Amino acid sequence: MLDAIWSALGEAITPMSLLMLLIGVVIGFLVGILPGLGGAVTLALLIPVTFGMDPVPAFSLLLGMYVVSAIAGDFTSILFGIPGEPTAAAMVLDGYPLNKKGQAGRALGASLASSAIGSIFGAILLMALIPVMRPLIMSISAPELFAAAVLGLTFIASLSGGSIHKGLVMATVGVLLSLVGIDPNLGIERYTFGSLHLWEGIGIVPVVVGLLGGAEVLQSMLDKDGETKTIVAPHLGGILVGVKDSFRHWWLMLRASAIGAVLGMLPGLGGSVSQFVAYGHARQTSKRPEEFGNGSIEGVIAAGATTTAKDGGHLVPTIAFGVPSGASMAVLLGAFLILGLNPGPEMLGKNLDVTLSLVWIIVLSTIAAVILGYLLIRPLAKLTSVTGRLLVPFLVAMLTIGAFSNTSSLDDVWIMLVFLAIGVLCSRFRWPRIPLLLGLVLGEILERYFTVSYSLFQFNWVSRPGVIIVELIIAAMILFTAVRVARKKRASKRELLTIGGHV
Amino acid sequence: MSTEMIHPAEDADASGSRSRRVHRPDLIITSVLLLVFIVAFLMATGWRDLAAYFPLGVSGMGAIASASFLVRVLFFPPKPHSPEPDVPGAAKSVAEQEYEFFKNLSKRDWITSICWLGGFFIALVIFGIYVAVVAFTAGYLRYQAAKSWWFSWIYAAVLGGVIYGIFEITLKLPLPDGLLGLG
Repeated sequence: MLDAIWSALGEAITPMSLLMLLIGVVIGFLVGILPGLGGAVTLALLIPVTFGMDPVPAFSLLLGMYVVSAIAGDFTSILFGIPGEPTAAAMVLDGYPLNKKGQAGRALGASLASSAIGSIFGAILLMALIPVMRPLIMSISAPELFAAAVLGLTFIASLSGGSIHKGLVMATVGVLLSLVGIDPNLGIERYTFGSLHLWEGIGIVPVVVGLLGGAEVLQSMLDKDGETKTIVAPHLGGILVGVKDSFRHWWLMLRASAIGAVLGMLPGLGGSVSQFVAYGHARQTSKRPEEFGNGSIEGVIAAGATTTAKDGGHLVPTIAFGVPSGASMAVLLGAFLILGLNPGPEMLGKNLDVTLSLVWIIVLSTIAAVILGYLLIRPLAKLTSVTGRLLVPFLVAMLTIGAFSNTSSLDDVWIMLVFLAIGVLCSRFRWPRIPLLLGLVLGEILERYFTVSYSLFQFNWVSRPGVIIVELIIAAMILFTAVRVARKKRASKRELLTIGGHV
Repeated sequence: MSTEMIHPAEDADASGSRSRRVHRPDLIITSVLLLVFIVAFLMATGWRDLAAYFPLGVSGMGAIASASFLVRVLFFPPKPHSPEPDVPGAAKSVAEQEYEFFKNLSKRDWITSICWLGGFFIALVIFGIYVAVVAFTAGYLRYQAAKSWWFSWIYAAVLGGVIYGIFEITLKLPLPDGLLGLG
């Protein structure tokens, strides 16, 4: 095995492979920074370029681009409050507030460092799982995946910003919205109101861009005296502080990476889910949960680590079974076949060197991304000192292009506008936005795996060992949250009594 | 205009003590959502088996959650907090800052921003992304940001050029070209 690992490294660092990797990294950065242009679209655009290439240089280009686009997506979230990628939505929650406090450099540094560690963690996990990949994946079936999605929903409490009841209502709205479109079982139109575009459902990209970015654009538009923009001048020297912060919270970084990598392995539970789960987990276990949403460095670290750790996880079912865990992996699967590789046992035997090269490509592209990112942080962070109104045309164009890129349809721009309005109303009347997003992401997964589980096992699946483990985790989470809420209430009552307030 | 109504049960004995108030925006939002869930539930009753189970469950749960919240809003509104000390803007939470920002906007502010955004999206539909971006950028910077015409046009041309370079030339991705096909 060790020989194979070193031989794979040799293949990954040939001049051709490194050149392709570099090109991939640069494209990935550009794609990641632009809202809406997902890794999947760019993977599809790059596949024709790889015709006739050897597998390792070809994957250096494709995987290099894909890994880096996720890292760069966090940059846009921090700098402009608009997620560059749907998987970078959680980064907005704390990265952008840190930017507003003049700590853009710190947030970017923490994001880069945690992304690098997350990526390497995911790659190591992929390597470690090679011998046990098949039995491990075989033990996971629809009921376990359904239970994992329910586990994701339990984080609503952490993401509700003070009112769990409001969060629950918003999450249910999100799940309901995920049902819009053609029903996957019987082909019946549901909540489409005669719109052909809605047959495909409501895309996550226009929702993320509108819900999170819209309120920000409107604030910049209406900001008369620059109050919503950087209150303190951006402190660029904070880059290293952010890196140090990440390593100071190494245990959180590893936990978030593990969440990203493990959830990344489960088909359907993409990066959008894992980042919110990791973010919710970080908040639940933090000693300063009140800082979350207001510029918590722990929130940035958890979101950053998950963003990249999921990539290694995503590759596990893709390589072992040819089962893509998401849209990007489905496109990558196409690349495998075009390059003459058959995902499955061959990738773990005859083509083991290619599989191990993928691990090295992830590591190398992460290192390249960190270097490039470090070089670009200063010029990018300077953008935060530009007054809000000057950024408005740029942000409006990004919102529009981001939403349009989803399916190249103006209908997605209208969907983005609807969610822009919802986002602004939520901000204006103190309703949480994130549970809606989580519900939308999880809704489709919940229905799909519930239907399959029911069709296969009726309700007997609830007693499967894997499901029981997840059920126990869910129960522990609910208990933990209840105890925490009760303690918080008691503490605030005590505080009121101490200062002589009425209780 | 106040967004709160004094709760009738508390109105009578409100003398001297802080009275509970129904939060009108919560009342309206929750009522609308309850209606949405009920309509969604009724629509789902017309579908067959597997297509209906999940929507029925979700809309039913949503209706219960919003109805129970509505009860809370109407009959158990939270007591208003004691007057808060003057917290400096930077120390407030981001959600709080956003809330106060939008709360303090005048009708004129809202109309102005809606007009600018509306104008941009109408231009997008008719003329496509390039004309819309250039016209919006130049007009917005000149009239809203009070920049010179020179600055506004140069900014607009650079932004349009960057979008063209990235999406048309480099990535060859389609962008909205409008009813007149100018994209």
